[in-house]
Amino acid sequence: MMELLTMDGHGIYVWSTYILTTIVLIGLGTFPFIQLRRFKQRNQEDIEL
Amino acid sequence: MKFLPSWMQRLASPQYFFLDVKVWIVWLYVLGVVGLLVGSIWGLAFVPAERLQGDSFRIMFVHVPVAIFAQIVYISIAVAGVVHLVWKLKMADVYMAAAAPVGFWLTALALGSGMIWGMPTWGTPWEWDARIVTTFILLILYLGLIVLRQVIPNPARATFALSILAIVGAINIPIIKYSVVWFETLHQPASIELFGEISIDAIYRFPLFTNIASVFILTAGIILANMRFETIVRNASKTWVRSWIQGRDR
Repeated sequence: MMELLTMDGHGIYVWSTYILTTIVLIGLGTFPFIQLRRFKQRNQEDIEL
Repeated sequence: MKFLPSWMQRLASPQYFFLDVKVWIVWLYVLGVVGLLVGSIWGLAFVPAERLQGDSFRIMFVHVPVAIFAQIVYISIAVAGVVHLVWKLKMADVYMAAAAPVGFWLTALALGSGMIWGMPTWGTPWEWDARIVTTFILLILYLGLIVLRQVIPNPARATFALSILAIVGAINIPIIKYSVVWFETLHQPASIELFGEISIDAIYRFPLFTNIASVFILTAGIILANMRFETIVRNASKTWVRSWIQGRDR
């Protein structure tokens, strides 16, 4: 397990790449749904007014 | 457009596009995420370290797929630009607006992962090298596509300018591709050729090709999700959008 984390000194480079990629892909994947929900909420408030 | 099958003609309608495409997005997200998990876990834990680079080569399973699709997304935007200029299809503009941020972030990831990979391999994160510089130009082109839409108030003019920028900027794609052949560069030559030999050892192909396929599927899903949002914003005054807002529609 420790070997998988340290990767003979390369772990910091490898894991930081995978973490960075995960963060960006989660952001890209969720952003359109967050925008859609905001759009719906904003317009619901407008209709109620 | 009568030559297209009826389900495709249906997608040309913003209302049906918005309603129908949701289920596709869910499936593309699920397949893309599962594929990326399988490919990445396989690449991180189940293949041996590379002879020369050691474990740092495992960055390849992320770097190569995002770099490939950073370029393919740009080509697709340029094609959409041509479609918009020739046929004035509204969905082509919706596609350009939806795909540009995705391409931007894929390019940023390609550069970021390349810089991290460069530290243990080249001893430096950045070098004024042809492949890196042309990829950086791609990032600037994507930024141009995003910013141009914001700064030109007339939507028709903005789309025209975007189409021209996308088409002219596409010249950068073959330069990126052949930069490792035409110039003296630190970057290694292409290991995968569409119609040529693959110089990557067979043991590394499964995780790499799984991640390439998964990034393709996930990118398609994210662009469709962005297109769905763009569609509803552009049709905000329509009755079907009002009924969706009031929860009378899916």
